[in-house]
Amino acid sequence: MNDCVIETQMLTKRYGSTTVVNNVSIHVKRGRIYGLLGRNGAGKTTTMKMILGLSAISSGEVRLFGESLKKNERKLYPRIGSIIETPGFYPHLTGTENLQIFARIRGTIKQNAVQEALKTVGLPYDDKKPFSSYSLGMKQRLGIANAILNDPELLILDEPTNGLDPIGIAEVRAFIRSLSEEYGKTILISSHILTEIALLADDIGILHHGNLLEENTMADLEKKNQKYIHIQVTSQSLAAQVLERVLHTNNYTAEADNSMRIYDTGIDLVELNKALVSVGAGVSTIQICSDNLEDYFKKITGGVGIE
Amino acid sequence: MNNLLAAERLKLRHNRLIISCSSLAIILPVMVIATDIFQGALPKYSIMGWVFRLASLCQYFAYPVLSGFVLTFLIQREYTDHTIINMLTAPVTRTRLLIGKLIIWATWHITMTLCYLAIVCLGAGILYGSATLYGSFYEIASFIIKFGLLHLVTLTPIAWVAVLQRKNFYPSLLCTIIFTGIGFAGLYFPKFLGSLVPWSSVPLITVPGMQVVPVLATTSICICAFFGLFMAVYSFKHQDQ
Repeated sequence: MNDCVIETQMLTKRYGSTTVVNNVSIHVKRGRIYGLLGRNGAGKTTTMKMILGLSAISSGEVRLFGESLKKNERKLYPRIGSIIETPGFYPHLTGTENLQIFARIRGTIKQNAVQEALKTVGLPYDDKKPFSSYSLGMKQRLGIANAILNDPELLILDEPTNGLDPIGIAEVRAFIRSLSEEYGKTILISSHILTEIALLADDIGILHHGNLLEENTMADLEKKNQKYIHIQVTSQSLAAQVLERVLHTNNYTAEADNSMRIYDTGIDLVELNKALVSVGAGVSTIQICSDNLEDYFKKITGGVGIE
Repeated sequence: MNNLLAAERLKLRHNRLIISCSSLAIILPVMVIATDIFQGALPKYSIMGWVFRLASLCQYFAYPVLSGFVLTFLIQREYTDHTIINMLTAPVTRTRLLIGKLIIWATWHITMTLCYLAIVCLGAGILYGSATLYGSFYEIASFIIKFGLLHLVTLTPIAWVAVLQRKNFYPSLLCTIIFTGIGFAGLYFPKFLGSLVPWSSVPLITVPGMQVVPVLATTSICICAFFGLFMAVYSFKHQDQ
């Protein structure tokens, strides 16, 4: 049985001669959080918009809940909640009034859905404050409340932590995690913030210039990440001499802040420390590390960082 | 569709623009009639002449502009507030969403036309007496309602422009003013040209005694209404958000 809630096949979006999404095939499995990672303009939002029918598909196919999207939109879309770009609400109405409008449009949701959704995201019910005077954090929360209003099986969240302060980001992250773990929701989330995706996602897709460069589980990525010895010394030149002349390796890189990465992990740490101290290289740190998601992102995008 | 219309009604709560447009649509004829009443003497026009004179300010000029303003606002606001995305992912079919907006707009336009009719009848009753009003009521009502409805259908291309312009406000307002100008100038167009252009056909076909080719005028109004509606729905259905 196909366990993919979202499956795109060779999804492509062209604007004239410009291809913004090129043959993207992503697979979002049931109950998991799928992080779509890429720089601004990589094609994350466009991909999500095509899945949601907001943007026409130039070629390729979208399958939701195992069924082709074509001709099944009315059946499939009520099972999805989404935030795309900035959450949009009527500025002169309160949060409750705004949600009542969208609840009315959806038609088939529970009587107290608005109250429950607001409670879930920590916003007051029947507040007199209009949406225009909400803080950015409150606006994002209201966007999430709208997305969960109809108790959807699938959530598509485009940069839901955009513009939030660090505490707000942590709260939203915890909330998204709880939606997946406690309520079994499947979540497709996009972000250009690596740590965000690294902390949230079970699976990851890396988009770069409209191409899906990698699709993998976070667990596999962690396994694939290269290990290295990280040292911090007072003199990189002395340390380099030790590595090349004493330990006979040139498989290392010099980093900022007098730190170095030695990819020859067969070197004994005690021997390395002794050798560095003996030439007066002043070792302050020595430890075995592995590449993080940012290193991996740089590697597969050809050295381009995400920010 | 009922849910969609109820949602549209909820959106209009505390809406200043709709309140302002509605107030203007009511205040304008009231002020003109009040001026006539306070001038003291019976107007020099016949009752129908007085109705046409009033219509040339209100129905020919002010109401189409206000109506275009309301329609533009109903559509454009969804783009500026980014609510169009929430609406479409609610999910609502695009055709229904647009038709819902057009129904709200048409309801506003018809309500204002009926309010205008009531104000005109009240004014005519004060100025000419109830006996004269009763004698001319059918003629007054049919003129005002026919004019209002025909103007409504010839303004549907505004919906198309409003969809295409997205966040902008001015192109559709400019179109409204152009259509209104054409309608006004149409009174002085040659018979054939006046009947060919939908916006000038409206006064020609409505005001008694005007030179008009009725079949041509009716056809041009119908084509305009259908074209406006079709293009608005087609453009909206194929628009990337």
